Amino acid sequence: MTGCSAALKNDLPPASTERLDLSVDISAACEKLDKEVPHPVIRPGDDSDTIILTYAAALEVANATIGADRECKQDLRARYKAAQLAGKEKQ
Amino acid sequence: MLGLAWTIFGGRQFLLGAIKFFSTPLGQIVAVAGALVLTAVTTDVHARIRDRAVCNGRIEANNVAWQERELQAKAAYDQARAKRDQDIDAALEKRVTEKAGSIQQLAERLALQVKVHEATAPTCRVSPGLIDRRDRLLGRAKK
Repeated sequence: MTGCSAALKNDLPPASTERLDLSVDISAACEKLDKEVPHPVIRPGDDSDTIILTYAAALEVANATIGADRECKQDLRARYKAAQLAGKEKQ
Repeated sequence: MLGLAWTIFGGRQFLLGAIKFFSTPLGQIVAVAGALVLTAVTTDVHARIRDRAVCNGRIEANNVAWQERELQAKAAYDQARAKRDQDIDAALEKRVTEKAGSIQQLAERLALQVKVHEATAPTCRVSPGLIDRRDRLLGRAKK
């Protein structure tokens, strides 16, 4: 039966390659933050200081959107990194 | 072998010789020894055949068990991946909703402050050409 033990190891079917699929279905939740900030409406005769302030406000909103999106993606990356199979949580 | 001996010694003489030989003490010892060897060889061959069958059965059972484990592991892996995606999506959705709300509040607050400023003394006025210049700057010039 010595030869049988060797045969048991050699006769295993080839390892499945199905799990080697590299595709990852990353959450698209962060993209919901990425709303474009429209240019403020300007009409001839409008107060120029007001226009500048309106643009400044739009820029502030755009920067806040970028910041929120960056934080969301950092969170996303951290969550994917921390994901473990059940029973294999990090010690 | 028997045919050759039959041809060489002659069948009758061979048979008589064999009977005579096996009637002697030495012949009987040879006969018993031969029977024992034959039994041992037969037993060994049978044992080898039986071992081979058991081995084949073990290999087959091992393959089936291995494939079952592989399928179970794959199912568990796929399930864990789906759950991970679902959990992450749910957590992010919550965060995104909160963030979108705070950005909306910021936009509304700033719009209100601009309105407050607008109500105070005006400075200079936007020239009619400014809008065109802005559009040209952004590559949105009207044709």
